[in-house]
Amino acid sequence: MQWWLWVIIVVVIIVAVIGAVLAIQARRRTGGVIITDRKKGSGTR
Amino acid sequence: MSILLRSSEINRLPVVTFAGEDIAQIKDIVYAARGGQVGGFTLNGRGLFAGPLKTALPWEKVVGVGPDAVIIRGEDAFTPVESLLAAVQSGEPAAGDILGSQVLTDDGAALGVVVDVVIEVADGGGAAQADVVGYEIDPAEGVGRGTNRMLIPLPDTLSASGEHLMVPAAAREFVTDDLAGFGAAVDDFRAHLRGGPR
Repeated sequence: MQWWLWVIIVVVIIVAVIGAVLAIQARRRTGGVIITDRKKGSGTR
Repeated sequence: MSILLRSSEINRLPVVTFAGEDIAQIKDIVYAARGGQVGGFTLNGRGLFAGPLKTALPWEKVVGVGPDAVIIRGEDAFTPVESLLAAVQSGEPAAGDILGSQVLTDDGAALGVVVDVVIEVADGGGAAQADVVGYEIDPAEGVGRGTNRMLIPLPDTLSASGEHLMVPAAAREFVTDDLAGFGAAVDDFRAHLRGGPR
C-alpha cells in the first residue's frame, strides 16, 4: 500500500476518535430539569 | 416583585464566587414534584473535557441568578448530589428529567411534549424562593395550534409523579405564547382553580 494511503487512514481514525469523544462529552454535559419523587426511567432522556 | 425565566436560560450558566472565581457550570435544575419548589442545581466542571460533578448547589446557597452567571459566596456552598436530592424529595427516592415528557390534562387529552420549564424567581436571589410555574410545550396535533410552542400554567399544588405530567383541563384556557403575559396567566389560572373569577 502507498505511504500516503496510510496517512489518510490514520487521519480519518484520529478525526473519528476526536469526534466521538466530543459527542460523548457533549451528551454527558447536557442539562435538564430533574423532578424528584418520580419513577426512574421516566422522561425520554 | 419576581421574574420569570426559562430553564434553558439557567442551564449552562457559570457559577461564580464573590471572589470572582468561575468554579462550575449549571447542569440540571432540580425541583420537587410536590409544590414545584426549586431545590438547587447539579453541576458540570469547567472546561470542555470536564464531566458532571459529584457536588450540587442547593438553592438556599445561591446569592443571585442573573442573565450571565449564578453567584455564590464560596465553594463551601456545594453539597453532595445525593444530599440535594434527598433534601428535595418528599416520598420515594427517585428522580427523572421532565424534558421530553408528555403533558396530559386530567380529562385525558394530550397537550404536547415539554421542551422547557418556566421558573418564577422572587426578586432577591437566594434569600427568596424559586418555583416552577409552567411548562413550554411543543403542542400535540389535536391541540390545533400548529407547531407554535405554547406556555401552559401549573397549579400551585403541583403534582407531577408518574410517566406523564398531569395538568387540570382548565389550564388550556390560560395558555400564552410568550413570557410577557405569562405571569398574569399563572395568577388567573390559580385564582380560577381556587374558585375565583377569571
